[in-house]
Amino acid sequence: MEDKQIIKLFFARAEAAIGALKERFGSTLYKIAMNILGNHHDAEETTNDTYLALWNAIPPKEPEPLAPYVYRTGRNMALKRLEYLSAEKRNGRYDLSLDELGACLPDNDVDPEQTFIIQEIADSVNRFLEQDTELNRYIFMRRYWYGDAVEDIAKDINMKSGAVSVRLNRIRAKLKEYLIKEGYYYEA
Amino acid sequence: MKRKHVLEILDKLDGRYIAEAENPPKKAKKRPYWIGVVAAALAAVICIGSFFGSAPAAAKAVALPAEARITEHPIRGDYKDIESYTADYDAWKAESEPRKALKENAVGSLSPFFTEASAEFLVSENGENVLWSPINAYIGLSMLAEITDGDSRREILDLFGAEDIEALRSQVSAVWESVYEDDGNEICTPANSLWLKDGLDYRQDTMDNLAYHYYASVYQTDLGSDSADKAIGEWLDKNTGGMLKDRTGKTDLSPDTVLALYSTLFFQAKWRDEFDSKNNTEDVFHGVGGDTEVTYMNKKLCQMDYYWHENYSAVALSLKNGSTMWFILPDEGKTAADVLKDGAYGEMISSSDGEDGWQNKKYMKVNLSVPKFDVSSTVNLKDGLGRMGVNKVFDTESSDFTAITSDTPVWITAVNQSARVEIDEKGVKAAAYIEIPGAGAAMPPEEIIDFLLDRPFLFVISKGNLPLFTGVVNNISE
Repeated sequence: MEDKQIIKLFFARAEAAIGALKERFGSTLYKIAMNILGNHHDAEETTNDTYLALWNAIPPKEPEPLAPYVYRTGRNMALKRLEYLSAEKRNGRYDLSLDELGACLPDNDVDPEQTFIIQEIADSVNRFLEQDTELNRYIFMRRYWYGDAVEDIAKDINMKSGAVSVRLNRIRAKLKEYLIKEGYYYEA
Repeated sequence: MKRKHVLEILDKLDGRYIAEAENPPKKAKKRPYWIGVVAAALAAVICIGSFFGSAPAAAKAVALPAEARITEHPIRGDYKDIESYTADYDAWKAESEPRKALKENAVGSLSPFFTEASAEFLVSENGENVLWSPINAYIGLSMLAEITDGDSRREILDLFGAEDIEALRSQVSAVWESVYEDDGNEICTPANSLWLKDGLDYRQDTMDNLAYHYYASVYQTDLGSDSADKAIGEWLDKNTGGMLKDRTGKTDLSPDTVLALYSTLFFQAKWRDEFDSKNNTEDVFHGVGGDTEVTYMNKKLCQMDYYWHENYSAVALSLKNGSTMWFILPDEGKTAADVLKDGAYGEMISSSDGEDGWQNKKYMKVNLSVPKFDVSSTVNLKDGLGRMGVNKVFDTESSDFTAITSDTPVWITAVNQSARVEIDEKGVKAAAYIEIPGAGAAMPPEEIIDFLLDRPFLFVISKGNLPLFTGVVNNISE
């Protein structure tokens, strides 16, 4: 079913909207939640919560395009659940990938109160991704946004996982260099 | 930057990229189809115990390999200005030099193991071909040291000349990072995995160490089941380029297996100077099992270093990825076993580049004839390891696997390594037969020499001074 038709079902308050949502986005939503939470039970519940959250949000919202909106909602639900779960039960793998990325983003310039700085850095990262290749963008997004394991990414694009690791390493180095040129400060 | 802020930035990434990454880009690359020199090795360590796990669950990843800690060598053509190239080059140099030093130290302490173990494992009692990968075995056995403790661990550390487990970890990481290469064309990729029985209570810190220092994957599944055998077979195929399918398809672990450790190495490279198939000839190879008609790849008057020692002569052919394939021909009346026992060839390979390197060599014109071959073997490493002082891990009473689990007594029942090496015109130049430098280290008599590999010989594929694959070719079948 096309995304526009799914939106129509939501606006008609037809329960088939949930079924269509599940069919179109279910497996990716589950994977995102699983990547973040690392637990089948939590991932499944989060996926169901996501359907409900979308049911409540559309309408009035009419997201266009639909896919990023759905995935963002699912990801935020998973992150909220992760926060709710105790700190000791944190999912090492996703934290590790956040730390990888964090190491190449500017550290001490960010004042938590100054959210516009976060927005500026995000804009720079968006510009950086724009000028990179589609393959590199795919690897970057799957690793850091979707939280995929390097091995899974490698399988998807028919590369060896070591090659994906090396490429990620290089993308991060290039991103850091790009942000330095944009004027962000890194501690030595 | 703190995780909280990283998450905020990720949340603000453009929706187009989120949607775009739903599916992989269409032009995913394929493995190259040419041969050149291809090789794969697979070491398997199988441990059993009396543990009975809980009900089978889906296979899950317990730990996944760390990202490769390698900075790529910058390529000048990728840069518009010299300043940013120089900056990247400096960064690459700063990152790679300490590793290089670590690797050199590792090679120093590992050389006795490589030479001694090759003499131990490359013995063919029935005259069949036999080959193994020293580096693959080293990495696999190092992982074994990581999951054992006490004397079980100490024996392996001693084998590798490592003072303690921390020293071994640094060595293994340096070696892994030194040999690793995959630009989609020239490939040298080690991979490691550990498979645990469902329900086995494992130590997460050990799993994390395996993932970080050994770039290993750790999975937990219902070992012994058909689905687990299949999953392992698929992992092995993927990491050996499908070269060892006749062996990986036979994964059949018994239900009392509590853990299985697999280490692989896949290698593919082209000759720096390819052979021209128009110069190929059909001729006889005088194998241990009798004469066979084989295809020789030939080159006339190659200018290269010709090496010799009291019981062999040798040439080294360069591969495009910087590796080298050595062909070592025992003198008439000598055997591969004599060369292996003497062990001098190891020194020749490790010192060939240095200024104080191998003395018995001369730059000359060589008429090379190298047979095309595709050889494979499976070596049982257990007995040989026992003779080299590694015994505790096999002992049902005194094996110590407490670094991984205290659930049950665990001991090793099998350590095998399978390997296969194939060469053709895309990859080799060749060798040939000597007018035999007489006994002792005399100079070769002529400026032009024939090097014809028409009887059993040894080969070594090395990267720098690390031996990736070593083998004795006793027979070649067309």
